[in-house]
Amino acid sequence: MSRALLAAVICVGCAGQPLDRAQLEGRAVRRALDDVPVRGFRTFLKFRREVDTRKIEGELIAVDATHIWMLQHERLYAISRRLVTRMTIKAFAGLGVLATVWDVVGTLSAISHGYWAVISGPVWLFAGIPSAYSEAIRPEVGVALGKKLDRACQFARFPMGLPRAWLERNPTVIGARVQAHAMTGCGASVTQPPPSARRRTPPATRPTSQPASAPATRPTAPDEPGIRDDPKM
Amino acid sequence: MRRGCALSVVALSIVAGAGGGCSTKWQARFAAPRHAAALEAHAPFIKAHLADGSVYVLQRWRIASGHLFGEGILYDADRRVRREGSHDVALARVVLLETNRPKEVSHVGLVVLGVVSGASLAVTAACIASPKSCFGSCPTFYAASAGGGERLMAEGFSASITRRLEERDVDALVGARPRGRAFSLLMTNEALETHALRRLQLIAVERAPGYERVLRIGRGSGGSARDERYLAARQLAAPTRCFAARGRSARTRAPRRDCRELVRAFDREELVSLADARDLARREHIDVTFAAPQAGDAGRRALVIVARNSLLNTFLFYQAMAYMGRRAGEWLTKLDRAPRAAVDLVSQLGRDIGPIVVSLHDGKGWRRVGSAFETGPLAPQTHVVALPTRLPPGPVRVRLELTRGYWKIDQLALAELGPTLVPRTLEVARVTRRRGGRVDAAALARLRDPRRYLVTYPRDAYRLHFELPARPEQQALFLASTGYYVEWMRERWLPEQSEAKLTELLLHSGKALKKLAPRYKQLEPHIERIFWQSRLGREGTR
Repeated sequence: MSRALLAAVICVGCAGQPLDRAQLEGRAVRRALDDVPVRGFRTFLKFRREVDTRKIEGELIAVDATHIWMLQHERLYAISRRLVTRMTIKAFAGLGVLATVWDVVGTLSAISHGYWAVISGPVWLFAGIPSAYSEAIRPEVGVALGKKLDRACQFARFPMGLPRAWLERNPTVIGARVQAHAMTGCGASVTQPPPSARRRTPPATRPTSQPASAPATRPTAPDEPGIRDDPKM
Repeated sequence: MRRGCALSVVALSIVAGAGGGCSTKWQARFAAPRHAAALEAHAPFIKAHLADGSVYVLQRWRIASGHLFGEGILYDADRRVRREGSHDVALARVVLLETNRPKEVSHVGLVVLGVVSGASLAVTAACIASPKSCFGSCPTFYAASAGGGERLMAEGFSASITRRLEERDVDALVGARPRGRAFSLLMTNEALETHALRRLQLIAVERAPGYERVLRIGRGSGGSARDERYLAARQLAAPTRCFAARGRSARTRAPRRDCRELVRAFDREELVSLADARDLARREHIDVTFAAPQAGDAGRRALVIVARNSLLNTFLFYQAMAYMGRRAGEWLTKLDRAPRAAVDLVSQLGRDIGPIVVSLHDGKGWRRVGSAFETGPLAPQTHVVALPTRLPPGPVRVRLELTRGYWKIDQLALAELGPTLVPRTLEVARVTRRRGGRVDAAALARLRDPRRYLVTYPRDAYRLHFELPARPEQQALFLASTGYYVEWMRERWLPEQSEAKLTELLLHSGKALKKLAPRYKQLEPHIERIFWQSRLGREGTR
């Protein structure tokens, strides 16, 4: 009980961001037109044990029924959803590293307080550790696996699904034998009108975009980052 | 201090900036073009995603007649800008609409760190801004105390700022409680100083039956072993009356004209006063009355003063160093070769304002009976002023005349002196390093050879082991240290280099002490705190 209470006290303000971007709250601010993000959000994937590579980080390009499409160092990866154990999206630029460095430097600087370091050192630690943890965790959107993973498309460069023409220009697809499949995208999974509107209109059952079917892929080379597709696919 | 505040403000401003506006989160709502009516019309930005991956980002937008109108940018699928300006996009070409609202991210964690940094910087900056209040110590000695743990017990040869001024300094280790025949002292260098220690001895004096204390009569520093006597003492009586017109508690800084409680016992509750705002040499007096000795007590009486310096003389010493500036080395070397008269001149300033002059009221008026003086702001020293054998009848009235703001008095007592005792001088038996506990035979050899010095630098720490005589709990201990130290020049002092001001401070100290009074008064409220915070190697102890 007391541990839970301690954790609660330490983690005040540590909660991550919601998966539904409509629920990202905060004080309205003005931003210039060219500040509006047009690329996918920074995303981290962790893989199952049998995959050589443990994790990957890159720009979220698209999410479809079977794959998560990521761009890392100008190279496109199609990653089977079945291999992923955890997906985390950075909803905004966090300052966790800054806060951690700040806390470490601050705690060390307490040495200069001499006698008072007995007080100022612990104050730095008690204030700094939760602050740094909070700054590192708060920007993150933890995406539950399964059906809810579809909703991660809201953070993708192409929320409506991967455009075929673009995929053909970027054929470096690694680690996936992409099958012909339905591109869900936000066109199907999140484009739900408000209840009032939904009553007036029929629900969207098909994505507006055309599915990207069987794009050109090349076999995974031995020196690739080690992402291997699910062998059963 | 003002600079410290300014730094804090700058830090907090940076934090406010970081916390206020660095990050933006983008609220988004999506809708298929056929549900465009459901989109919030007041969103500042709208994106129209096309099937080929390109996207229009528009502001001041509206939807009418199956078209999206607005001003903005068309990006291709690789997010290169294709066209800027007014756009008219047929909804039939659009596969997905997305409205965006920028929202501010408040970095609460950084604000918390900012507040902590502000407070922390203020403390650090105060020390940097006012280096003349920072720790200066001479060798400091710690020993196990009755209260448990190690406590600062003594400081060696504080007035010996150059080799020429090297002297033997004896301090009573009043609170030391040996728990067996093995006794150790921790000797540290906690300041930006080089210490040269020629000799270190422990003096053990066995208490006489019926006498609870041993008092040393002789010069605290500068005297020789031949000039000093150790006397048994008992019945240390606290004053029945103590009046200090400008008295204050050193701990709370609250005015305490009735100072009885502050000087009643050696308990670190000290009586202080503030320096004069116009003249640092201005004197004051404290009147103390003790109950009349009982008829049967035949022993001679002595006034016991347990006190240490405030930081006024540290400030003056550092100011003199600042006036020497880049020529400090030259000045101090010259002093080593100078005739005795010149050396006396340098230490004259301390002798002018330092001593506590003790007078006794003989029924007609005040008659000077002695004085007490020793340099050192860290460890309280015990001074003994023997009173005349025949005291006037009735209560014993004593007056202490001292420089305002120069002393911190912990205890005033009237003691009955007993027989003279024989001291035993003990050499250091073993030396170990504080870190790692390794035996340092070289340091031991230097400490036992009076022709050589043990030289220490900031943060050096040695544990000195002694073997006490039998019945260690009955031994009163004194520490005799001989050596000198060299204060390191601080870069921040250099701009004040001025031979004229140095000359004035040494030759016309009366005038200089008036000129320096406002500067010291500005520092005085904070100097104690800053001083103790700036020690090296023993952070967190006192």
